[in-house]
Amino acid sequence: MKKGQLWETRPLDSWDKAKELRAKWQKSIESKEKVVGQGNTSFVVDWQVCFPAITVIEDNPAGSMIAAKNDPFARKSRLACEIRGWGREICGYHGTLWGTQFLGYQEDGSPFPKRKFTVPFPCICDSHTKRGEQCRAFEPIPRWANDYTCYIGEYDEEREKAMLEHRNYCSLKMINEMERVFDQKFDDDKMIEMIRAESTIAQYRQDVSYYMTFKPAPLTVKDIYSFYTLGGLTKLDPEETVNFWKMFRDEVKWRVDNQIAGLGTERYRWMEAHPPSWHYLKYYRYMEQYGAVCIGSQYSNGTPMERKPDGSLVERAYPGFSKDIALETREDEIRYMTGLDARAPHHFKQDEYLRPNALNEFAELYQVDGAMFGLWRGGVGCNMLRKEQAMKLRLIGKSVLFFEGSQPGDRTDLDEKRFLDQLDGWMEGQGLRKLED
Amino acid sequence: MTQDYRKWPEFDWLSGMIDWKKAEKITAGVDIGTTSAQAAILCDGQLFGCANIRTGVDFRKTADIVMERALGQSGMKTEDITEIVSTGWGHQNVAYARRSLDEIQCHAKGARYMYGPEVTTVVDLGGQTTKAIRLHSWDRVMDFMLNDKCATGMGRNIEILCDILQISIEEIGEKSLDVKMDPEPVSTTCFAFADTETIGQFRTDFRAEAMSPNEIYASHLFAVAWRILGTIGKLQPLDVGDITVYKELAFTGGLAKNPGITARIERELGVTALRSEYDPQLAGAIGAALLA
Amino acid sequence: MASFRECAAGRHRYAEEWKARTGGKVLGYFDTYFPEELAYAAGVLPVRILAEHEPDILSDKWIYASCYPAKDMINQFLKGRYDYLDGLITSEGYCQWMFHAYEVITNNKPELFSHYMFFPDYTEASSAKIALHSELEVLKGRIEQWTGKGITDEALDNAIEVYNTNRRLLRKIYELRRADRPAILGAEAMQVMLASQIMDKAEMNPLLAQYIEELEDRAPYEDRIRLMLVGSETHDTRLEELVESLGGNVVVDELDNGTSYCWNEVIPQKDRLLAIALRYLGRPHNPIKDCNWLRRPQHIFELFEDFTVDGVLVVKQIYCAPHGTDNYAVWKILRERNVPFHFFERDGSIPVDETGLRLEAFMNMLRPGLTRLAGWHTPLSI
Repeated sequence: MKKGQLWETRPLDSWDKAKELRAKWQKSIESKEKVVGQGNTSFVVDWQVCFPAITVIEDNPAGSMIAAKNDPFARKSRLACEIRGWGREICGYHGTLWGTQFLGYQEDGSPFPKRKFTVPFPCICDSHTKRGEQCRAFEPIPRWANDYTCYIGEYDEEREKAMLEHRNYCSLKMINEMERVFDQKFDDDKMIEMIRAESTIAQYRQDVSYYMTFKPAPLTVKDIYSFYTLGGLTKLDPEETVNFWKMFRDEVKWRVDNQIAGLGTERYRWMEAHPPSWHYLKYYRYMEQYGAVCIGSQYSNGTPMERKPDGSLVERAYPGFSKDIALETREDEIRYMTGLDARAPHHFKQDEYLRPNALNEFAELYQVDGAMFGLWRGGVGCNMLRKEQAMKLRLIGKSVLFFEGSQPGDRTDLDEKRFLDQLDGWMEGQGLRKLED
Repeated sequence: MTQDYRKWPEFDWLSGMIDWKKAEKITAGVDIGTTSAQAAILCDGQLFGCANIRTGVDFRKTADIVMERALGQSGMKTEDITEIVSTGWGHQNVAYARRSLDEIQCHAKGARYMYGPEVTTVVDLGGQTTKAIRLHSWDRVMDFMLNDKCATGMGRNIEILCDILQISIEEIGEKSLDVKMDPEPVSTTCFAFADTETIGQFRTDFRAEAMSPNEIYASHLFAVAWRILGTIGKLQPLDVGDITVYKELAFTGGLAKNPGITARIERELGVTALRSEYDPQLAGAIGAALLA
Repeated sequence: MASFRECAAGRHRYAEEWKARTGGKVLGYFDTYFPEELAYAAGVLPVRILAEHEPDILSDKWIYASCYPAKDMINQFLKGRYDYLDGLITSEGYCQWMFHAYEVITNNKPELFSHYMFFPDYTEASSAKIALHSELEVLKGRIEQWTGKGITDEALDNAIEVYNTNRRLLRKIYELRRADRPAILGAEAMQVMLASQIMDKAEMNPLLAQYIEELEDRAPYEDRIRLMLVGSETHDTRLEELVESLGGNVVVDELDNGTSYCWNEVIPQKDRLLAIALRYLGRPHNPIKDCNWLRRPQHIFELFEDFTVDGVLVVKQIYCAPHGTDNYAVWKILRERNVPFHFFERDGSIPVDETGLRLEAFMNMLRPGLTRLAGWHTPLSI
């Protein structure tokens, strides 16, 4: 038995299936003849798979992937971006990907697939709002903008209507225009199938997220990050994905029932907020030397918390996924896709923006002992309310550690040694020692 | 005894070939930088005398000393000089100069004198600022960029670093190149943080393999070179769409003598910078004398 | 002019006096996408929140930011400089730093009336009008509820007229600056612009009209290098003053609180809110609202040509993400059209020597000959 082990632990059985799905997806994108565009697919449902030969690449995952895999190349890409005028303060994901476009080749040396269309998608994050422009530098490609309407405060029927109308108009126009420009039929039946599948997967995801509230945590955040793109960023057959998520959910439930831990030495639980430093994920393992497990964040676990009138704390339901919604026309589909409420949308980010106590609720439900927050020198959106949230967490007895860096997808300002020193100090200050010591 | 690791050799020089009394026009340029000060005297456009010294806290006194050393034993006095132009951070402290000009024009002019008229890109690696200058094929500045705020790419930082790491400023560049490959650069946003990170690298660490001193120098100088690349890259391209052509590149300023910086910039840009028989620190002063 | 300059410099005094004099409410706003007409029609004085530059010991606890205006705004609120405000509004027209400042301030000052107004980013979409119209309805209702009285059509018409008059007068100043040898320099003009974001426009308009008359009779300045200022909005006129001390003149700007603040008017129509919505959707946009069609670079170029500008200063607030992401498009068009420009980052203060070096070198690049004389800080005689 490992030193300090408190719980039984074992690898997930779902790994093999997950790897198989991932390989299948990789093969499908390599073989599919397609028009590549840049834009956002972060709607509740992924519309692009309903076109026979269209692939939308989001700059966030692509940029963070480059940063995670190849620091020198990411650095070179960001320089290519910086010298053309983009500031060093822009999001590292975007800087890396946009720069790669100008280098003209990807990290493996293959040519960069030039975008044939773009979907600018304004967002509450400034860098994200300005995405979708740079790929027009090479040729006059078509673009269809979306908009992300939102409001805070009391529910207002008229306000809802006007805001959702604006969203739907933009997206409907985009789909219809794409059919015309690329001469491709949008498969409405498939879209309906996707929506049905997504609503089921979302429930499974939410269940997995809920199981993370138990002690010991059945998974660690490392597992969550490995699985959470399946069916989302990696587009897969809807039925197969639903089956996978059911299998995964059942396995995690079984682990909870039998107290099988993600980390057998779990004695300290900590949370994050927002994107981790993708270029330096080793800190999860480093913390595990202290028996400290990261149970995730609102970013990884998907759904925010809310307190019911009776005082109980539960995960907030996806309002967009009521099963009885009519799905008959394309407009119905789009309405469903773009979300059914505009008020303080359920998306993790806005929830935190608008409610500084959102993290307290998360912390309580997930039974964390402490929280670790990155303060990103240039990550405007990722720093929002972070200090205020830390103050509130401390009020309920949670220890908070800040560390500084450039961006979640840019290692420039991350002093790794200093960061690890901080982790030692933080853990030791709370009476923990490395288990091998 | 504490060694002055940041120390670099001062010098003065007088031409033995020119009789200044026969010159029709004598001009001089004085470049008072934050770290070093230079004076250059030209007789009919030919370099007659020059000096390069460390700038003290009293810029006015520095200006007097550097001119005195440039005049040397020639018998020439400042009154014999037709026109004197000052430049650099302390240009307003040169009491005997009648005019002053900005460093950009002076370095550009000086670089073409020192490296030849084909120079299109001048990179002045100064004590406090990095200046990248692009020139038209004719004698005009097309565009220039100065380092942005909080940049690591400045000579002063290297001096401080040498003191911290106890390595001579004249050796650090060569040593930094003696590595198999460049390690990850340290932070490039703030030189105080860059230095802290570098000190951390020197610590014997139980977590990872310790870096060799040369790798640590490389890590730091690579970061400095990278910032300078960002400044050079922002210049107006020679033609639209062609952003990576930096042919006919000339380095001036103190860091131009640090191969740990220049070789890395050359490597990343894929060019070999022009070489000159003149000391690169003299560019500002020579340029000022030419523009007098 | 003294009153405008004083107003811009002692920015809190005017609103404090106005409040004491009228007994009205004062509403702070962060960005120029806030439709001031609605507040004005309710008898409320809209006052733009501007950053100062003073030692900041308070904001660090609340915000991890490299953006000096956002930090300073929090600092000022916590120090009580804005205690005269009765309310605070963000209309999501600027960046997240500002939104963050809004959040921190309203969390600290719950007694303030506060409202978050959505402003579409995809401003050209035909549905954006509907969304914004709805937001104006909501805002109108909130203000009515807050002030306890209804906003009538007559009050809205009056507010639109007062604001349109102010815009026309401010543009007139730009017209005067277009002259070969203008009688007003950039710093003075910018002080008027800043004052207009603080003053009651009904009070300001007659003063402004009289001021313009005086300008028309004023002797022109000597020839100067004509510069244009592009980039993050400004909170003072130090940069313009430095330019002037070196023999240049900022003849036009493309700033959110410069030309963009007064460039277009509300075209009256029966549906007043739609008229206002169209004005704000149709104004020259800042980078955040120009995320689809890239109209801003072309607008910059048109101003450059129109004002016979010699060179453009692209000056970004350090860590300003919207401008950091828009520079590429601006640089590209300026380079393609052979417009000389110089880019640098500004912070709270303007370091005189460092910025002076840039400006002097840039102006020397634009001049036919190198004519700068010794005397770095001495303004040229006027």
